[in-house]
Amino acid sequence: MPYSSEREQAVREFVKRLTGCQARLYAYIVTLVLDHHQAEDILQQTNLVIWEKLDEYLNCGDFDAMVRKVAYYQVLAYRRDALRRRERLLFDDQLLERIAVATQTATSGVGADYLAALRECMAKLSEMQRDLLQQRYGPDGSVEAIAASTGRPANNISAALYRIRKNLLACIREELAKHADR
Amino acid sequence: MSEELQLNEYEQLLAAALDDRLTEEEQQRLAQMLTENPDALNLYVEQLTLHAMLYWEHKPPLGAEKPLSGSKVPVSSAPEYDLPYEKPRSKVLIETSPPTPIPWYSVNSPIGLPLISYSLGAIITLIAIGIGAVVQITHSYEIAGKAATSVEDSGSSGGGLAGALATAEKAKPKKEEAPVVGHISGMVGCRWADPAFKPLAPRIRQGTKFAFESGLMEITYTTGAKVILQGPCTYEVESPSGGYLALGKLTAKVVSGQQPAAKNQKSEIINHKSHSPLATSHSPLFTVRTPTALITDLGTEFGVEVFDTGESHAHVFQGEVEVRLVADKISSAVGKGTDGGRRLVVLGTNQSAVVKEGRIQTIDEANAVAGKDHRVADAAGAFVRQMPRWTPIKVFNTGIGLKEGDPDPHWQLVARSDEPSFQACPAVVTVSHIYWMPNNPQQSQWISIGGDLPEVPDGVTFTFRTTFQLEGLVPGSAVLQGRFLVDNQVTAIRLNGESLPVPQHPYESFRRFVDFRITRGFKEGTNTLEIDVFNGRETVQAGELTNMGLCVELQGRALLAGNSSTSQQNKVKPTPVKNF
Repeated sequence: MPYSSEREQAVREFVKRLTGCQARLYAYIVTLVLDHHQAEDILQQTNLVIWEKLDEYLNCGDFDAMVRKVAYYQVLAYRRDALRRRERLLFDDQLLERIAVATQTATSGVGADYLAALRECMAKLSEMQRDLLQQRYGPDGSVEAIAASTGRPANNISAALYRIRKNLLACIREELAKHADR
Repeated sequence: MSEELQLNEYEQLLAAALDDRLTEEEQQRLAQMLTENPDALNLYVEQLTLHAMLYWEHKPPLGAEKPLSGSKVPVSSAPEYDLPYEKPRSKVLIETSPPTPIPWYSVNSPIGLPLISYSLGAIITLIAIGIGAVVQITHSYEIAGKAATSVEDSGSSGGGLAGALATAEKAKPKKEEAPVVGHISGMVGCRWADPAFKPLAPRIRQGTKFAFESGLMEITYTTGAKVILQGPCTYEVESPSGGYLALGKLTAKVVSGQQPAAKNQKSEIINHKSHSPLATSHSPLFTVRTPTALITDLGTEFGVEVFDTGESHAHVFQGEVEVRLVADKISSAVGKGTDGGRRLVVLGTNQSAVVKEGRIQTIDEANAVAGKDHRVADAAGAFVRQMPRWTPIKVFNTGIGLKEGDPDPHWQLVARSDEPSFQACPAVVTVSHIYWMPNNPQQSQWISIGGDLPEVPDGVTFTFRTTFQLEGLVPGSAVLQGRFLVDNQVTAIRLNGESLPVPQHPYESFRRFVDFRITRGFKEGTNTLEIDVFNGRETVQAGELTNMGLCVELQGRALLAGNSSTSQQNKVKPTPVKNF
């Protein structure tokens, strides 16, 4: 049952682009709210808003800027709700805006290449390092849980994880640079 | 494996932020640094982006089972024995493609709606194909059964799909399921004649046929009667109270009370002309049919063996059975006039009969004809009267029930490659390294040469040993299933000095168990299992000291010796044979 009309073709293209930018959008939201559960909720809400206003966004010029803008407003909405619940916010609005600007540049490169580089670099880690990442980033993973299961201080585990991430970052930069040279 | 864990202040704050461990004070400090230092801000964004992508990468795919990290998970069973073994630890899978945060099937998903449209289209197409198929089936049934309603009628009468289905259902010949008459209550080493055959459920319906080349199978009828089939054997469960033994051996046991009508029916059975197990009205007495005879239980335990020639032997362990020639064999026998017309005998305890060439002979008569070396001499022997029972082998996981620092009384360190004169000593439960699977005193713990995570030279091989007994068990039937964690690698596994295959595993099997299984090399009495652990990686750096440890979990079982019962188990004075 193929799409025939021009609009349907445009919708298909739009859906393709929106699907393709999910990782990038998620990274953008995480840098603003830090909490990955909240980030997932905001991402879903962002997708919903975009979908509901499809006609409005269908032929917009800068697709990435548009989805980021929608996501940013959803982050602000989330912060408003958090304040109403008297929750502590990590950064004030001014710093948030600065982070958002910096993130815009940093996450613009997050796509298939970035994920491929990440996988490449994770493969270079030792099995124990990968296990540690799995325990941290797998479902219900936390430094506290690892500390409880290993009987090691949480600070040490957090530091070990930081080192792994630092090495990964260096490796990803190299991989992306290699890719850019090709 | 020591690591420099010192981070500068900013890195510490960032690490705490990434791991949800920021205090309010630290939060303010971080905010201040991000505001004042553009480099700090860039690093923050870079780290957070990676942090987000790590979550993205580690998300389980939709519908995937939740990975069980750091928990003890049951391990897989030995398939041919159906033991309640633990299942192997599930491997944690990292999905290589990022999952979509909104389920694809959701209406809210940007891709959901088009996909749903496509799916609906596909469903409509399938329904159309389904209608076509149903109509075709209906048509076939109607042709076969000459049904009154035509396909066109069903379509044009406005019934549509429902009408077509109803017609198909109506026209479909009803197939009644045979009644359940028993269940498989035990199997040991069954090798089916058809390798593709495997009983799907323990329930047995009337008409089920079993053919296996070796092994034992016990059937418990709903009446309570038990039959042990010995391979090679072909047996069909013909009725709720009997079956047809085409080939092989069986032992049937019908204990008192399972056939309340047995005694009352005895005369009726003795007088009946023939037995038709597939007839709707079955004899309430347990009957085994063979190609040449009907052996009817009169409240007893008996064995029957059928040879490929059709010759049948029956032996009574206890009580009485009636042995009767089957109808066609009777006429044949009478025609030949070889037997003087004896059509049945009633055998008592410890009596045997042979049915062949259209006649029934007691074992004494048969031996008189064929001599003592005739196989009927063994008629009473080699019947299995009790299913052999599996018994666990008493083996010990490393460190089980001990404290860190305790010597393990069941595991020894017996050799190390750099000290030829090394004196064997108990292995010691050691604290686990941060990268190792944590110790679990209730299940298993890491053992090493010392209790405080000792460092030993790279390139050295250590031999750990445990022993276990197979007293009173059949060594040939023993199975030992195990799994290990190791730092750095198991290079050899030996049972009683014989090297066994070592499953492939990486140099860092610190958290994922490696399964192994031993099915040969067992002996009576004390058995010795040795595991060689190599410390270091492929490229050994001379003089480097690193941690070494082993964690092993074992389970084993074997058949109890002396379970193959014969008539010798039940020596009772024979009673006279009754002829009819």
